[in-house]
Amino acid sequence: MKKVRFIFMAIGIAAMTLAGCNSQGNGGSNGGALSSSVAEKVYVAPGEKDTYYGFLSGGYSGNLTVYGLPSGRLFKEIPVFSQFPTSGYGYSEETKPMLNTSHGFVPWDDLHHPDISQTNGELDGRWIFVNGNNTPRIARISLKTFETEEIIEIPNSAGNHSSSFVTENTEYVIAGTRFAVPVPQRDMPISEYKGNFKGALTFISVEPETGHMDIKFQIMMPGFDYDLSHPGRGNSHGWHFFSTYNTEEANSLLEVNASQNDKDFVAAVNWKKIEEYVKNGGGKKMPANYAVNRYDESTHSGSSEMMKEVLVVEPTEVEGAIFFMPMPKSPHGCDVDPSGEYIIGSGKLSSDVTVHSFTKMIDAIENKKFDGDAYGIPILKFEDVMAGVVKSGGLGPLHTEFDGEGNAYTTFFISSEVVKWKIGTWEVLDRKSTFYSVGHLMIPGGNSRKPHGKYLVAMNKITKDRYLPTGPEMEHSAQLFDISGDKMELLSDFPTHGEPHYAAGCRADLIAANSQKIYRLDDNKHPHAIKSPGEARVERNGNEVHVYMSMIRSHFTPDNIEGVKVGDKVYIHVTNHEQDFDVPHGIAVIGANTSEILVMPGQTKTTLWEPKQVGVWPFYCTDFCSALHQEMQGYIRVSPASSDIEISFSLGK
Amino acid sequence: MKRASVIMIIGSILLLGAFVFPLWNIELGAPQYPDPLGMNIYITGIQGQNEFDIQNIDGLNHYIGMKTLPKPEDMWEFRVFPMVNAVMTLLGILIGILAYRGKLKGYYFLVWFVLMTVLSALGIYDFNLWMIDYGTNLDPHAILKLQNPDGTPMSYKPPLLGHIKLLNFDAYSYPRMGAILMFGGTFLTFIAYLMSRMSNKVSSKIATLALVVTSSFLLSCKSEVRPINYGEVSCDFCRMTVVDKIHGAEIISDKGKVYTFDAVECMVNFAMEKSFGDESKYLTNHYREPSELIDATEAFFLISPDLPSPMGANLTALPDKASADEAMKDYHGELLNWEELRERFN
Repeated sequence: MKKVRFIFMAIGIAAMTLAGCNSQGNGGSNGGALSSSVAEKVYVAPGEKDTYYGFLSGGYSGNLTVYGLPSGRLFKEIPVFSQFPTSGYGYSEETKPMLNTSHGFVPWDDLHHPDISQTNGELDGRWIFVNGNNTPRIARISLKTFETEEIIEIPNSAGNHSSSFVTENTEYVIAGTRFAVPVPQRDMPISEYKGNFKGALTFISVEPETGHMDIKFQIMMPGFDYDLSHPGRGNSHGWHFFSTYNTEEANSLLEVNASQNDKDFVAAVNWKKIEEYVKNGGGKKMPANYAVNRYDESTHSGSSEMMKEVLVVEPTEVEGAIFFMPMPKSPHGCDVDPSGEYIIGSGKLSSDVTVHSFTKMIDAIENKKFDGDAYGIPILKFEDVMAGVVKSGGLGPLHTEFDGEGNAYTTFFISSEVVKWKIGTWEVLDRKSTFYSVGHLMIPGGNSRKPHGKYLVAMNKITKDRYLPTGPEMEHSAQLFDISGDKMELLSDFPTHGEPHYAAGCRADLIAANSQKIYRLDDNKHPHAIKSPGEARVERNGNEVHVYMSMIRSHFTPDNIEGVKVGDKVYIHVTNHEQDFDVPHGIAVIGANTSEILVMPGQTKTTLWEPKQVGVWPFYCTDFCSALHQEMQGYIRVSPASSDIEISFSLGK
Repeated sequence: MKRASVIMIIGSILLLGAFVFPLWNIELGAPQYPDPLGMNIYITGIQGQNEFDIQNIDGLNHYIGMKTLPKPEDMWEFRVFPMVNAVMTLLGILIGILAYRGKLKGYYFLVWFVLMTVLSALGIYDFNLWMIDYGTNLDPHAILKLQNPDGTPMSYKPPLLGHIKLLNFDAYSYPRMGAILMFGGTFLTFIAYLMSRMSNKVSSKIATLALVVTSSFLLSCKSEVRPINYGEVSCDFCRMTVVDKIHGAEIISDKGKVYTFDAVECMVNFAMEKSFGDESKYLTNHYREPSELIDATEAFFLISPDLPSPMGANLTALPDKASADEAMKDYHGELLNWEELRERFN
């Protein structure tokens, strides 16, 4: 009898195992991402709109990508720091100045941290700011036109990483240096790093109407690595918090040498105090050389100006403005909760998340409870400022965001998961694995007083994904979670472009209603614009030929040009005369050593063509514009350099 | 007689509305044009419904060889019609004043009315002639030459009144406030004539009635309900085709622009994205009578999973409290009024 029961049990177990295999073989599991209710949550039917915008940094693509949530659909790639042949950004004469720096034309950067402008601590959807990490720059992108409007270079900085976070009323965009460098730059032995290199924290003011950026002051901090930062809000408005690592000030083999101290610092900077000091004439002007590049929407042109001076403040000059709070194990993320009370540090080699209290910090400062100093900057006692520790059970916390309901969500890179925990009790409420090795995360409304606790996007650091294979090099992958319930629910995986480091998101209606559809031709102040085809002409000026061309469905005016010679520099200024939504035209000329350009309705752009061979060379419209798009073409006759053929041009002859 | 004269004067003055409001509107919509193109025809010229509509209509029409839309200086009508209208207004007022003073008999009202009716008919006839020319007198070198199945060239004439389909474009042609005021005014002058032939007692009643009827007619015309063209139009919010005759909805903005929706939830979401003026009308289909549109602000809305709506909000309109309660019995769920509904979507 016993034997029989055993056999039944064995069969039972075998059957269960097989059934288990079978359901896995079908690629589904109950309640997983394939169950219909989950599919419905990310399904945005054709013609319907997503409820959130997600702006994901493009990392080493140098650009910013725009996604819809919850669908995970990619809407647009906005060119920022990298040349972008798709639109001609960085190739057209108008946009080349946008990529000018003190190092000359830099056609690429590593774009890290998007942050949306704020008013009263809430996202206002006017602009999004992003940082270029490699050749330190901050860019401002208009959320009306989705175009890069301004790029400012940061002097005395390198590895512009603890950037580009905005304060509660977009008073400042803040940029901190990750790689300390000699200030001013000079020829010196690398081994003399310690004590000699500096880490500049830069406060860039934002003009409320135009958004124009201007470096107000730089704080010359000790030569640590300033990794990430976040503004205070509410009571802590006026402060800014930076995480640091390499407080050891190692200059080689940092993976070992910068991991020696048990604790590094969070630098708390009272910028209001320094702002006042600077207003009253404090600080010292030092020579500098950095570019401010602005794009003017009315002239459709960028211009670059080199600035020669920057105001520098030594941290010890302003008493009571800067303090160090110890934070375990080379912290990466430095996040401030929606109330502004808690500063969350993620020691990236730790298993715990450490939370500091702003109230405790102020209390410790008022009672002067210091534990020594670093280069004259007072260090607060860890125990005095600490509010709590989240015993996560994970490893390698990086970044924390909030849902506005009293919960925090921290990514763990090493253990590849997102952990949900409660602010105040520090208890872990939920954890979900990510695929694979999550870096940063985004909850729409994240860096503000009012996050929208509906979705969470986890951005994975490792490119291996769960899609069809595409060779050794892949795009990254993100995971979308529904966080509206008690437990997080994985909704979908979607690929992301470049390496998204950070992201910002907001409610769709904040932006969608203001999105521009066309540029008004009568507002076009481009110096080479033509307002009617009657003004179309070709002019020679030495070996420069300027073509003033208009485009409308579906022809160029003029479309036959003669009198161009080998060795000429032919500037083709094209104005799109359409005033209807979604009728761009493009132009490309055979053999051009540049990209095509895409011209939006009402806009003027210029492409440079330098013909090297005699012949009759065609050009054509690159953007499908109408049923007669294929007919939108023309010819330029190129004669030998010695030819005396006069310039002539025509249409329809 | 005095009352009749006053009505005559009021009727004549209404003609001046033609100088303020558009007379007619022609609108073109197509699946590939989610924002329809349209023109408002004023007595002094044609203007786009949106800023660049005229340019864009001309841009499209050049493919099929239609002439560009006339500028005011291109057509004598835009000079003569305003003069005729002004002269008729002044004449009507003059007749009214003289009659008031007892210097003219009431049959002058009729003379004026007949004259005006003939002139209006000629005006509309002329307008239609222009539309025939505009829609059929095509450039022989047109890029696209389209033919009817019988081989004759296709006409692109918009309808004088109503809707037709041109290729996959929907063309709508309807009178606007200017024309409505002119018709209303002209009608009043006829009433004035009738009144002049009756006793004071009767005429006072007719005067009141005529004013009430005319003004309510004008008010209702201001935001005339445009029936939803089911299966043809797409939702202005979610872009899906409107098919369901129980859940469709419509907004008529205070500017007279009509937006169609496949579901009330789409209308509410759309209204929140845009901000419509207080005078705007919100209309919805309802459960009792398919394809009838009722005032959404007066309706009741049942949220019940047993009554699914096109966009998943399970939202169905009911015309009154009684039918709402009845539906509650059948389907259960939650009942909201318009304000509560908007609050819910906010």
